[in-house]
Amino acid sequence: MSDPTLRAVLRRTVIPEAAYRAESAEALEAALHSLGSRFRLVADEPQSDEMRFFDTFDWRLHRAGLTLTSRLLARKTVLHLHRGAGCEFSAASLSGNPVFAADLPEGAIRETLTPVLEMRALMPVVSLAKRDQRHGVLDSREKTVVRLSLRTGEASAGETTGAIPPLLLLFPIRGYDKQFAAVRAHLEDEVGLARSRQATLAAALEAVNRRPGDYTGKVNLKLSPGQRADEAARTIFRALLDTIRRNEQGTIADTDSEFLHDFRVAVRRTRSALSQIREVLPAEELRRFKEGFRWLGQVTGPTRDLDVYLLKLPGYAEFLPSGARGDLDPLGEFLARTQREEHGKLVRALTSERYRELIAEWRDFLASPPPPRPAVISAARPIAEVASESIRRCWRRLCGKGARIDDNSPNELLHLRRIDAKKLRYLLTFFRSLYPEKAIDALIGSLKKLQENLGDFNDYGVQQAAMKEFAERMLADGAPVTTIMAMGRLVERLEAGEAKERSRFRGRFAEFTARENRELFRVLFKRPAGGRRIS
Amino acid sequence: MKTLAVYNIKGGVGKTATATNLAYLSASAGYRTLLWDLDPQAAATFYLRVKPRVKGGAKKLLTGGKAVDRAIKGTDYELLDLIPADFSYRKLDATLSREKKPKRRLSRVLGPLEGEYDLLIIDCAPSIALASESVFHASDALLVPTIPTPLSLSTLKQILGHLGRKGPRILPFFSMVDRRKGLHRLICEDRQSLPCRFLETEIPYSSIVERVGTHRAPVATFDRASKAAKAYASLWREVMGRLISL
Repeated sequence: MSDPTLRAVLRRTVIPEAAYRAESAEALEAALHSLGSRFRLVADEPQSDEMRFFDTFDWRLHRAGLTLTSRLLARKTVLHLHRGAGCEFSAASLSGNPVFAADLPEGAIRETLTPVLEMRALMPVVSLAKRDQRHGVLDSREKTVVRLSLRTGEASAGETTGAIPPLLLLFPIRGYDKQFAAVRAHLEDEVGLARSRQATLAAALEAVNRRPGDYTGKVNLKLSPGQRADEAARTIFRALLDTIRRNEQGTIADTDSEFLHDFRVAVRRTRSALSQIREVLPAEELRRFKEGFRWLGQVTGPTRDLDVYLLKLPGYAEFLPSGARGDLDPLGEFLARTQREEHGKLVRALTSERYRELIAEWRDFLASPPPPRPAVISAARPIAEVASESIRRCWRRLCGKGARIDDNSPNELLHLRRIDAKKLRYLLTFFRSLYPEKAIDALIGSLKKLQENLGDFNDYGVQQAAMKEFAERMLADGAPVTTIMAMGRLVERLEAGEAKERSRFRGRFAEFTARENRELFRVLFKRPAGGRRIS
Repeated sequence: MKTLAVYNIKGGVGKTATATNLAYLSASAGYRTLLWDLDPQAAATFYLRVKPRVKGGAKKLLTGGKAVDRAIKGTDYELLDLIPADFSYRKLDATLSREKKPKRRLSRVLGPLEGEYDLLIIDCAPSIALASESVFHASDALLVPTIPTPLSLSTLKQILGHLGRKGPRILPFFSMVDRRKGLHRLICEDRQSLPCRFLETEIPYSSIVERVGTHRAPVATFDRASKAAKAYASLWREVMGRLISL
């Protein structure tokens, strides 16, 4: 028997099998009163405590149908993991708040959460100071057969606080299913209450004006085909700017690696859109923003690269025989140290006047109303036309230049096609809502496969160069020879991977540019009859 | 899951009070606890206000699987469940004797509960027949409440002699100790002469313990500050320490 506070336990009686909400405490009191006329109800002592709900910044638990809460019990944090509305869940505890999956105590919670969280950190989403007025339904032996709880409370997230709507929770007791069903039937059929799922979390989030799933790194825009191109472009840029802003704090605090990742992706998408959506916004004004976002891409690069190596490190170790895995430890330390240094520089950049000005000016530019008579040639055209044009142009370049690549072409040419593919992907993503969903998603899926090949090829190349550079620096710092040798073995593996991806390119490229896709591109992004050709 | 049987050949030694109070303390310490009231007198079941009835009786229960699952009742205390007593338990010996390998029967029936509970406490009927043998086989430790009298000690010797070195760890402790009685004092203080090592905790003879019956609740729930409540808490800590090391 191990310490109960350090192992996962399955508890049945704590999670409500049914939860109901009403707009007022009076309505629930009335329900309770009605129950009292049918069953023997006794009031128990009220309980007050504070619970906290956790999720990742991008709501991974919510999307997986999981709810993770913590309570402070005897100065220890007790975690509860609920799945759906059922009663399958576990509890474990640790001192302090969990951050990463690896910080969780061994057991069911960690096993369930590791693949869901991956590299993302758990963050408190909302806290709830709740008060439970508990009641028991008794049988003729004065034995409690069902537990009820009238729950009220104050939710808080950051500065925002708010009262939750009163909830009525029903807890079953093992072996008393019939009684539970009778109480439930009374509440639903006689009193007319409707059950609600994840009631407490939903109520708490509502009280602080948050919607679960209110952040995703994905671009999900609703554009309409007839919209003015400059308006649509502004919509795209505003969404990207929003992503940049929302990831700022997590990037600066280095809460987890994905804040910076999403930040950088949004910057790259912005840069791509700035160059790919042509003749829509005044070039003169865009120039300084192009320059500004290029700078932002540069200053955030080194930290991201190191984050990637740190994330890949466990995978690297697996390339080596089990006896030699420890040899990479000094590399891990080197990476962590260098990441901290680079992150320091990154923080200085993101807190600089230059950054603040760039963001403020860009925001003001995007907020300004489009001119009624734009000087820019495509500004007032329907976005659907401009979108198709941009996509066609990008597709033609990728196809034309990609077809010329053979086994003797220099690596550099593949890297350029990787960039082309990425630009095309961004355009398809920005304008996804303008086209039939099934067709465009098929194209995106097909392009994704080509991108994976080109991405892996590029990664292998970049990693080899980086390993060599790290090895030189580490050697100068007096790193053990065994470590340098292990890194050498790693480079060999990376070379082999690079060669393999390179040999796959022609096949992948042929698949992507096969007749079916060419046909799709032709139909989806066709030039309107009699339309002008600009570019 | 660890299995702790509270057992004595003699009746009236504070067995059920011990089983119920320890089960409650275990659950409130965060362990998923199951109490099996195997005594047809159904005292533990009565204390926990559950109807002393198992559908299909002992015979059905011994088939294991879903029958055990269905028999389990949640109590008024979080994490504490109960398999209630049933009048058919009085014929448990006869029922068992019709089974193949009767001594191993209980272990097999309890197998599926392994992942579901951390601690199973069995409140045994006072006897030494097939049912007790089956309990011994299923248990990690045998907690033996012993009144400090020469007769009780000789009963304990019987148990020790019967079980020998194999079988569950035997953990005797002094129960219903009345310090006003010279004999009780004498036996409790002369630990050298005991037939084996006793747990340190003594449970005093106390009217509070008897009130478990009128309150139908563990001592700690209605009189936490009482001597008896403190004694059970100390006994729990001691038993817990032993169980962890097993």
